[in-house]
Amino acid sequence: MTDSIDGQPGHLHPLSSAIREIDTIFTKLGFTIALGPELETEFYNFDALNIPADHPARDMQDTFWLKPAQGIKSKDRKVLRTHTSPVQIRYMEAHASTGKPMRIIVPGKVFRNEATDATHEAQFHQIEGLYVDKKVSLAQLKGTLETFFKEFFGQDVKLRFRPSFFPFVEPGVEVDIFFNNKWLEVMGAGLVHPNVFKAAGLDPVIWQGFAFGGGIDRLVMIKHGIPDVRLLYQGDLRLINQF
Amino acid sequence: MKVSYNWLQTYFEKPLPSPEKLAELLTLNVFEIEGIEKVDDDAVLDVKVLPDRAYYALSHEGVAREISLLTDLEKQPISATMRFDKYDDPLDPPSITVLEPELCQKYVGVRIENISVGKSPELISKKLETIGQRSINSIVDILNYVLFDMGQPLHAFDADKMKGSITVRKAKKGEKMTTLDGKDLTLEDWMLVVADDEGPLALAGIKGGNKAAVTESTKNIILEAANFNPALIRKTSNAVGIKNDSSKRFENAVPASFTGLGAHYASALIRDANEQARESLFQEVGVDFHENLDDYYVTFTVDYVQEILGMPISTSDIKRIIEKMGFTIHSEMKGTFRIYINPPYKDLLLLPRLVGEIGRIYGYEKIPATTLPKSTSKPKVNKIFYWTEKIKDILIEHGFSEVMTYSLQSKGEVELANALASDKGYLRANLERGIKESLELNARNADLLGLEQIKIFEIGRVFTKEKGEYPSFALGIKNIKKQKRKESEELQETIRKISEALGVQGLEGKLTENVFEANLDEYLESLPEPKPGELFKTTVGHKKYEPISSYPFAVRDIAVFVPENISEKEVEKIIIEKSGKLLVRKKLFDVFTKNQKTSYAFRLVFQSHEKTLTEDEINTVMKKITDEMNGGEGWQVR
Repeated sequence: MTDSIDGQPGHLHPLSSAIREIDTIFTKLGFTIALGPELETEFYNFDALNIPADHPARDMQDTFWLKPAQGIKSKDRKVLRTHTSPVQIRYMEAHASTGKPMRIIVPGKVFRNEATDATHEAQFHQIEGLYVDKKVSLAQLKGTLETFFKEFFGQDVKLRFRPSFFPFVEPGVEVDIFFNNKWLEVMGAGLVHPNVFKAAGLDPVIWQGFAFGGGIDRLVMIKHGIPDVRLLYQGDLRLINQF
Repeated sequence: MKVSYNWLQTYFEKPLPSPEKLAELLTLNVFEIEGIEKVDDDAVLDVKVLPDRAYYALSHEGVAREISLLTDLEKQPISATMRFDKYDDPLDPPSITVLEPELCQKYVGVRIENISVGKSPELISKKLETIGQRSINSIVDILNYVLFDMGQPLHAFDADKMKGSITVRKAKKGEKMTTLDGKDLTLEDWMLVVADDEGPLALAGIKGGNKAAVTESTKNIILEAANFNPALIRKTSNAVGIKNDSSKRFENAVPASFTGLGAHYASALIRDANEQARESLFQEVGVDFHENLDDYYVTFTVDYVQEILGMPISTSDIKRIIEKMGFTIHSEMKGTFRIYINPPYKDLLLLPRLVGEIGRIYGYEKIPATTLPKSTSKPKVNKIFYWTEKIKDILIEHGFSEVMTYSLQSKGEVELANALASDKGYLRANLERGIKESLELNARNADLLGLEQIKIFEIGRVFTKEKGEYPSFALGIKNIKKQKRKESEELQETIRKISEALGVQGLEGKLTENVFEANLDEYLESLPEPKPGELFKTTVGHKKYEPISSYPFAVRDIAVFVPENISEKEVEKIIIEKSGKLLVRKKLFDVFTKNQKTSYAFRLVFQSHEKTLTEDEINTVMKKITDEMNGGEGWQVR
């Protein structure tokens, strides 16, 4: 039972709250936010991330394509970004000439062309992370993510890596956390693939990096016990005003 | 991919771990097992093979190889050799010409005579049925068995239905073919076919034609094992809309070294099943297949492996794992390895990938968690993020709640080529529509929400022909109870307050009756750079979501006169006690005192999570409250 609240402040959407928390945790680790467009080119969304055309890896993400405009070259074809990873490329391109290490996180909306249900939505939010330096290891990736998840979910959270595959990292891992007595798959991660560095204008002989990405919606659902991802996009204050 | 536990066991002399244990081992160290299903005395594992391993692991042998890498169990190799009998009257296999060696690296054919086509032996049909494959006939089943056992797709033609020699060539534009299952295809000139002198026998690597189909009356066959170009197969299979176990393996680049083994293996099985059969091999090898074996050497240091994994794995552990993978150590000196990678595994020539393999076989759980070097400067704050969040804070302070609505809508200026549904075919050109729908929805729930005014906003990307993609900002108000100001006046006032708070004018947009919307792009740009290290507060913590009932709510008002000294709390106490959990919200909306009596008027909202409340049920609750109140000394429900 709730008492009424006229004249009170409004409520921040739980996804925005999560993004602020993520930002706070990663700012302490030296990361800064980078942003990018939701409407991407085929080049940034796929090719530059080592996902060539006519490769089975393209099937890993169901993609929304835009009606093609006249005279557009294939690599400039537009897609609704299927992940926040294109911002890795855009950021590295823009900062390659500085010769400095990079630490960014990228929150943003992404799109998948798949039937919706309680755990799938055609639009959702992702958080991407990228760390670039001269020497980067899987152990550092593990340490960074462990710090993040402990801060976000609580200090008793455990974390594990499982081998996986994402074309833009090598090796690639699936990140699971142990929370509420079960293992949950929460992120994909790995060390930046040399082809990704090349596409972004960095020399893979000099630079190494790690990257990670996962659904913010899922983190919010796990944390607050929200059973259906679609509740987040109804503009419904019965949900939002609870937070 | 479905994998039979008993079938996997045939690769090992010693018993496998239990299906559950095996599933866990594979999930943690190589690929996810998405399910285990009991089938008779067997267990079927659903293995999720991702594109990086699909070239070798879409088969029982491929999965068995992984088991051998992760346990002490030794995997038996597949051994299959054709008998190459000498015949007095040698067979006359057709000649084979590969006109597109780039697209068909290798083509191995076997002519087999004197066979009979019938039911498969149970040994084969049962295995196929366990993994969900229908038994068709003794020849087709053997081909499928080999595919699921070792990963090489195969095809068989009825030799007596073919005319002349075999050519692997590009199709002619408009060339027609009917598939085995009766689908008519019109081919493009970039597609690849296997043809005889008259026309296509098969769409290479994807589907056989009905012309030379193997049937119960077939006596002589041509068995085909080939290696087709992955990108071509993928493109063709997408174009004709045929995806099957053969196309899937080819598009994932099944190694050319599998071709010969597949041909030998299948023909040996066919010979075993047909005592009278005779066989003869013919083949053509494309130019690309003659690879330089020197390209398969790779050099790396122990330091590099330790550096990438971030753990102190020893030289002897690295050596043990490489040998287990079946690779030859050419030299090992002062922490530097030079090894020979077996050709099917050429993806491991990429050093980070090789190190990843060493790491996961050694065990990712052994990787420690370490920290990053201290960052030298305070992180810069993203300007767009900073000011967007600032605006949100100002609005929240003024009672607005943030909504997020759908980017895909039924109307817009930018259209999708492949919409999920007809009402989601466009990208939104504004936020107004989502805001209006949200205002309506929340207005209907105003009593439940306890609001006299719905005040919401959204900041999100919109897409127009003229301006492309840009961040838009919309806020909306809907008055439920009459307010001092009209919605549009309060909206204008709010915009002014934002400009005041941020100290920068110029937030201009479109104002309708109850929605204001503005392009934020230029306004955000006009704001100054934020200071490094600035953070935003949240108040949510670990709060748990309370389910929203899908049943309607009901509203009742109650007003009661009580003696002057009775507080609002005492009235509330009775309401709460007597209504139980059906009361979801209450609000004191009127208080006045007259003749030493105070009147409290409450608005009560009732709702159940289990059903629609009936009039009677609500009246019963109201009666309980009323009776209890009227029983009080000097209490009188009005």
